Amino acid sequence: MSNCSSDFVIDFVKKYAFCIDIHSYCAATGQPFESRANALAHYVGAGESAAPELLPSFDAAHYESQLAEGIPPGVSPLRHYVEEGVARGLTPYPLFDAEYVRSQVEHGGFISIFEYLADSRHANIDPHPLFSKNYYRNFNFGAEGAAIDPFWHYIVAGWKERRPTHPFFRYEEYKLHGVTPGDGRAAFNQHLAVALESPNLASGYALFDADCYIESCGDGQHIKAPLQHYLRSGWRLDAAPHPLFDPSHYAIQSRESAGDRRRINPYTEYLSDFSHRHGPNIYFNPDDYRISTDVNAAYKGSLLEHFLKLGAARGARPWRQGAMLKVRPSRRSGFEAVQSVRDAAGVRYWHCVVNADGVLSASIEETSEIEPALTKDTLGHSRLHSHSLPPGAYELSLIAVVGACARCNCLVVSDEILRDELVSRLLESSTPLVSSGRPWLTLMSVSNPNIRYWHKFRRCLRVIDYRPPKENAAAFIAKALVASMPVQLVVHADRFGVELLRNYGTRLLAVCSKVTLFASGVALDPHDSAWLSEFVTTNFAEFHALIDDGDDLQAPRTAGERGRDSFGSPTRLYHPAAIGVAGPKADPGSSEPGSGSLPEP
Amino acid sequence: MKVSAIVNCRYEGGLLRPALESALRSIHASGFGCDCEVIVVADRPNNSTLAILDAYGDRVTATLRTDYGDLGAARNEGVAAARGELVLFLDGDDLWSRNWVGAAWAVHLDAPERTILHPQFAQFFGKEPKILVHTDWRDPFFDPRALVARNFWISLCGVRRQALKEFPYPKVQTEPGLGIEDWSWYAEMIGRGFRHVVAPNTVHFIRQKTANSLVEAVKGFDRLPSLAFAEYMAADDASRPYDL
Repeated sequence: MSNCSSDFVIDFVKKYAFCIDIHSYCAATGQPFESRANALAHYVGAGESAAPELLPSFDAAHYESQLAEGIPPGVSPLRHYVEEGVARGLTPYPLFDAEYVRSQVEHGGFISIFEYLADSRHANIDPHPLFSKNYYRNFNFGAEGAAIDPFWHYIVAGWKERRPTHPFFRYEEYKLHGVTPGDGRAAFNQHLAVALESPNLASGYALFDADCYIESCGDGQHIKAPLQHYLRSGWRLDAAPHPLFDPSHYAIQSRESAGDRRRINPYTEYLSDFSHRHGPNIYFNPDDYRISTDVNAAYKGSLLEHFLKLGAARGARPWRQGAMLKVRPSRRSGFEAVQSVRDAAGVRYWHCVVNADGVLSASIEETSEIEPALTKDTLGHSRLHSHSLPPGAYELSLIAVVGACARCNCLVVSDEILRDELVSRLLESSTPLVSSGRPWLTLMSVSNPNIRYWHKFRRCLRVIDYRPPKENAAAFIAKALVASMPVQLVVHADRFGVELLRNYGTRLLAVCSKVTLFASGVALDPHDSAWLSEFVTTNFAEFHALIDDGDDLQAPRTAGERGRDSFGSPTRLYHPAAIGVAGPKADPGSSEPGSGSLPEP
Repeated sequence: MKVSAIVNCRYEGGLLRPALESALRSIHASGFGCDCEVIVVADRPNNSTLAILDAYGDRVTATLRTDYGDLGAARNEGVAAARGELVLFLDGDDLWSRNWVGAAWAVHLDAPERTILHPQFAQFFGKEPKILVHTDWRDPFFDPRALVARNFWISLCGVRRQALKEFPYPKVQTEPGLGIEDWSWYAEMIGRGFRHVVAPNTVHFIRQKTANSLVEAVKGFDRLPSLAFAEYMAADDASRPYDL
């Protein structure tokens, strides 16, 4: 080692000993170095062929890729970087942006990655526009990560685990930009460097609206990678990264000092804060949003992101007097569109607020003269009544089911999709379920939720899928049946049929003109079977018919035998005419479609 | 006569006073004067409510005593006694904004015969205040089929008197305050071809009850399904194999 090299090594080790990973270097080279100085001397002397494990924060290949002229023979890349590259603003690590760091440090000069890592004054300075220390710490460690240097953690370990570094650089980005699980450090850094400059970065999050940003830049310039442009410099100009993020509103809430506002990108700051304390704009109140949705307090993301990914589609509301509408409301609607946004699925929404336009406040003020309970606070404390909003998923599903079943000639409700032979037996049963004018059944299945129109001769004509709620499907179906008022209702005596009748049977029997119970050999729990027997016996007069395939249901044989029959003894197909069962009840209305063509029972 | 204001009351007591004042004030603001009447229907009222009514004397046109215990039937009684072309309903503990009568009449003049008028906003006050924005039939996001799942409008509406005679409210025996009859009736009216129209910039003030018609709407439809509305829903679905 020459004196000159020796001085360099001694000086480097003295300043940046923590950057040297002697154990990994010994393992990589197969040599037992006794000190960091010896290892570093070996590393410097080996030049380009040095094993990279010694300095995890220094990627010689990445550094050299920035030098058009290359590195002179005999000069190690590390020494070239320290003695020349730093001053030129070059970087030895993809996630260390010398220019970005310089823009944040007080003295304004370039510093090396080693200086950056060694000096505690840089603890709150991000090394790269796509590495947020706050985000990395909050996402990966939460409150327990206060003592961890996020950047150093990533350099040493985080990269191997492909940890998210920024709200715009997460697990997905590694995969999308070619990083494979088996990549070593060199290959990983190569892919990482490309990914960081990709114009498609974070395009799946919907958190950055390139069109909105370019428009807010105002000069019509062509920006190749708008997100990176924004993160590097655009945010300092208060350009808007997303229609729903207002930097000045955020600054007011977070009460940053003027110095912080110049140094910290407020959008990155907002997206990295998982405390859910601040809103991204004046119409996005975190408390209001959390009330209207099921967001978990531990959700590791911003509420804005939750809204774009899930909330908007679920009808969640970020403002107590606001609504998300898919159509821009008219002037007469009472709403005013204040924001337009696309969610992660690309669906466009209008964020609308009550267009009181002074009407409500003025009316409250003048009415308070005769009703003291109306005060100035009434309006401010008011939430938008949910009935002001367009139908949600539950209601749309209910509309679809009722639309398909309302006033149908005969609706058959079953847990599972009825097999063809069962449908055929229904059609051929002695109970007249179809007419010559309307020879089809409407079949509703619940576990495989669809509605089919089944023609007597042409078989299945059309299938409509619907989405019942995950919980309490019976209530949903009962509600749909009551609203649909089918001319005839056939309930399959299966698990769901028993649940439906157990909870809503009386109501259904009161609403539907004719109710038939259809048993088809489905094995019922003995308790359910007993209950069903009791229910049918008790409400015998309300049933139009019982259809049994002879396996496990026995219907009452005569009206006089009510209360003495039971389910469980095999019997043949039940014939309602034989026992004088109650005929169809009179319909509550007079305009029953298709009723004229129904054959007489 | 242009407008009949029908005020339904029962146990409101002192709360009836601001309701009546708001009605009288709105009529006065409309400038219609003798072209308006105020009919109070007191259905099984308590003494304090009767005392308030006595104090109003001839400031109201007529006071009817009924024994239905049913808001729908009481409204129908008021309609039978009304002479106005347009009937506007008010519950005895709620209030109209000053501009309601004039604005409702203005919309009524241009509206089709089968129209139900609503204020643009319902301001619920008291505990947990809320704003209900009433949906106009012409709003692009309005889907009348959603009435199968919920009520859109408070019960305080405006309807031509002749239409109310043709399609009276159903009689519903239920606990006071539930008011499910208006929701079921609205559904029935949609099935009968009525359209719901909003009078711009008008407000009704609804005193929060432990339960109200909107809260109980879904339960209400379970109890009072509408055949006309079911047929409306059926007619709306073009996917059925009617054309076999």
